[in-house]
Amino acid sequence: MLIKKWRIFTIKIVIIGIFILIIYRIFTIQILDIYGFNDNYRYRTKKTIIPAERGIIYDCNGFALTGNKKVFKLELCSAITSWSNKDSLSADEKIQLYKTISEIIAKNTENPANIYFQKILKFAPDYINGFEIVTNLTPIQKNDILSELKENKIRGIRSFKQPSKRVYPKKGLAGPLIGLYNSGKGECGIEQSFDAELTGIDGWAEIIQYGTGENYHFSDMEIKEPIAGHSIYLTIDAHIQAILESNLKKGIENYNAKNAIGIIISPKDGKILAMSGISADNLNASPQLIHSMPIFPISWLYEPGSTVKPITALLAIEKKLFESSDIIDCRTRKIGRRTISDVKPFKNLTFKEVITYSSTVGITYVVDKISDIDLYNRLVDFGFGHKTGIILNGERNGILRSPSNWSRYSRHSLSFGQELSVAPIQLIYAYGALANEGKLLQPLIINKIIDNDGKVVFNSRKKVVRYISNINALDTLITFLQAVVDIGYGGLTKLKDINIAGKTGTSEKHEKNGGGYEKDKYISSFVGFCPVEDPQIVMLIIYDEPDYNHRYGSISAVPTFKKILEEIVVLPNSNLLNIITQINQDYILVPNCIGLPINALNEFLHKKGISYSLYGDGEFVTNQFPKSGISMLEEYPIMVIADED
Amino acid sequence: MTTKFPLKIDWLLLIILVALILFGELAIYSASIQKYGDKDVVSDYYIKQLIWIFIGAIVFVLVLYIPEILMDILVVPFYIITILLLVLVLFLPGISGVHRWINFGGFSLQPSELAKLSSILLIAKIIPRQHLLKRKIVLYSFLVILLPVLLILKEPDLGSSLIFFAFTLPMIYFAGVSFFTLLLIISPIISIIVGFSVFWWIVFDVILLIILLRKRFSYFFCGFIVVGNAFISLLTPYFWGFLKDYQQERILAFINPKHDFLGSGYQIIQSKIAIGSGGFFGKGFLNGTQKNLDFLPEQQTDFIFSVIGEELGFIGCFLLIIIFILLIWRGVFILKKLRNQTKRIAIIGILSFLIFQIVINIGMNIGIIPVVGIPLPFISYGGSSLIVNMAAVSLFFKYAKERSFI
Repeated sequence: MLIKKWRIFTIKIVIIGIFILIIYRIFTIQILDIYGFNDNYRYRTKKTIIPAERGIIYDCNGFALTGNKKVFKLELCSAITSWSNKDSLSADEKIQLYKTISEIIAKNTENPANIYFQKILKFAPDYINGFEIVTNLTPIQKNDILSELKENKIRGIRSFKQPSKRVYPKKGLAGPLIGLYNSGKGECGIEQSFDAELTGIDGWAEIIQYGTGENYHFSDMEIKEPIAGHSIYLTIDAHIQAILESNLKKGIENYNAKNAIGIIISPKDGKILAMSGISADNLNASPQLIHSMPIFPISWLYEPGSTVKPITALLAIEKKLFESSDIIDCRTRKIGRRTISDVKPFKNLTFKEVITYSSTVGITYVVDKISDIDLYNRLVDFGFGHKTGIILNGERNGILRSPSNWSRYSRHSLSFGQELSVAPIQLIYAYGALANEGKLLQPLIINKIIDNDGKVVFNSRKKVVRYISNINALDTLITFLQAVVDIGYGGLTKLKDINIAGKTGTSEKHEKNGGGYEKDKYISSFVGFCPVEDPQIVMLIIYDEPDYNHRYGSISAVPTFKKILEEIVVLPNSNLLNIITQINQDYILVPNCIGLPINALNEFLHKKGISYSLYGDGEFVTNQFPKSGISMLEEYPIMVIADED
Repeated sequence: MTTKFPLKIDWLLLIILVALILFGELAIYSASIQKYGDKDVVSDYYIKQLIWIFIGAIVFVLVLYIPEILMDILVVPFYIITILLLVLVLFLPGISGVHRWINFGGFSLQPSELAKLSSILLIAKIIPRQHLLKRKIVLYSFLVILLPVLLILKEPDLGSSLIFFAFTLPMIYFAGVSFFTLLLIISPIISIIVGFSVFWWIVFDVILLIILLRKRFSYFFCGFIVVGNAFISLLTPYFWGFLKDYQQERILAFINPKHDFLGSGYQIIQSKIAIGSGGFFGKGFLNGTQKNLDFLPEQQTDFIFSVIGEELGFIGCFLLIIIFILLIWRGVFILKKLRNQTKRIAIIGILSFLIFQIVINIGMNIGIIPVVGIPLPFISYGGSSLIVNMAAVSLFFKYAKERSFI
């Protein structure tokens, strides 16, 4: 039977029709470009953000107080993962694959595999172009996971660089001051107050995405490098800060205090050298928590008590109302219905002895000769009742009522530091003015700010807020204060080679709901400066609610002051106290440790009989303090820093 | 005789064949190389394909010069051997549950490819017999392909099993079975497809009823056919559940590629992107970014057309399709000259088999047909396919030579 012609014709028409259809279809895709594939997909490049590094916070010696740790996140692109080489995977195979992925990730992290598995099951069907499975991986973890996935021929896992994780290598040192950087912004302390300066400008890079899910950047593609944030150099000296903090902690334990606060400043230029507020509740707190604490020295208010007496006395000296040797009757005294007495009753004291022995009765006689407005103006001049202007968020005014709101007892109360509430920073700067020829300075916490290229964008300068009193009056007062240490209640502070001037303070705590004082709750403090001949540092130590036996400043704050001073005085790099050169001690020369591997460090330093404390997680020593060649006391540990990268 | 035989080759067809094989080898060479930026991966597909081309050439010559009588005798044993191989492959270890290949020393053989050719030859041998009733033609043809189709579905390989219908129906048609009978045969398949939509299901059954009534069949017969088809449509959604996951996914992905971007839809979209980004002139040989960046699935086998589309652009695609059309045209030319019904039916089978593969493969590359694992003849990487195609085309030469019309 022959094939009919029309049959062949029909078939021909059908075949030709089909091929025309195919060619037309190719034409529409390639030439008419109905899907827009011609341009968009010619190079499948994308832009990816390169997060800028946050600026580093350094201490005055260039010690890093913060660091940035590179972290990565992994994304799973299920569109690629579930597509094996030959076929799209069956449901069972997908589950098996997800299990393998979860196990590989879990092996390299701390979490159990099930967490990742559940996450993948939850997101894989909907977020096929990628969703986060795991974040905050170290470079090593990331590489391990990726190489293991590659061995298992699993595709579609991409790694991305996250904004670096903020780390605090000093583990809580100056924590509240430095503050905390969390989830993209500075939350407190310097991190918050200088967030704008520390934040860099993110860059971007063109990348090309592979079908396997990996991203690549090739040299001929566009890139805009990120600009790192500014670095901030604080006036804080990490070494002094460490000494201050360790002693305050010891003090809290020894005196069972609730809080301890300490500030050390340089009176000549107003720089804060160390500043710390420690709470007994947080002695063993995590660094994270410590960094998020308020900065007590600027935000915590207290009644300064006897430490205000010298300020009252200064007014009397200045106005020549009393001579040092004038006798004042210091027996218990009644003003209206109020009885004023000393803890330890006195009879007759000279004006100088009123300060030396901190006679409350004595100072009320002194203030009797001073007008309300003079006293008020003087307290205002010293900075009470106002913010000092330190560039930190969270500073408080304190409370100093104006004379129109005073009661008949107020003047006397103020003269010995009651009816007045101050922040520790106010008090220490008031004493700073005493030590610095009456110049009240603005507190400085920032030395300088340096941009990415090393250019100084901000340089802090000494700023005198006002001049108070005169040199003669101040010198007289300083002899009073020196007597406090030499023969008075500050006696425990006395050092053999350094003359110290200072004043103790003990005050009862106000009841929380106002009115009256709480029994057996005290705040003990000591503020002093040295050396008297040419003051280099001013230090304030406060214990909040020490136990009853240590309620007086002379018993709790004074020993701490002394201990800290002893440790600071022998600091090798310290030109704070020229006097140290006169102290005859055993010195050693600091060796160079930079570049040493950490595991060899112990033996190296042990041979020389030097102890050390190690900061950072790196493998090699990147910095040390003090620098090599400096002579230092054998008994003090050197700081060794091993930053990563 | 011996002095004449080189002249009896259809030189034009040979040039077309060589051009196709060369085209394929170049495409596979490009698909073997993935180079971009720092990435540089070279696979050995193009070297293996060269070896297959060499083996294919030997098979080509063997088929060309084997005596016709001997070949006639060998058709049945060849069919039986391929059936045995199809059984064997099911007992061999598979790759992720799929038993398609018999592996030996780095190379693999796909028995389903051989079964296609052996079935064509067997059908062509059986159905042209004089005075064979039309319904017997249909019956015998389907009996021949029944076993291979079942065995291949068991592998499982949906695409390959479809090819059997693709060449059997035209062969039956050319053996004299009417178009109407064919419609009746394939009406259950159409019923399955329309089974997913009540509207199209009713439309189809109404059309079927009208055609049947116009042919003046008894009301009983018409009713039986239409009700039977309606029943199939009704059951389809139920049997849908029996399909393997990936088979369901592929069909669904075709209906809506966004449905499953993860699997089959991903392949369709990626291959369309590659072809679309080629534009008119393409990105240049070896320069396809989609290919180099690993976006194309199975770029050396089923999706090789997208590599060609991306690198050689519309020009390349068009040229390749023209060469395919020339091959078909030459086949039809030989077909018309032949007087022997067996040979003609065989040529029809081979042509249908080639056309079906070309259309389906290119169709799925450009997203108008679902993804079924069917290679592009002479172009896709794969030894079994290449050898079977070369043997099949060798029959063109063989029959043309014997007719001595060239």
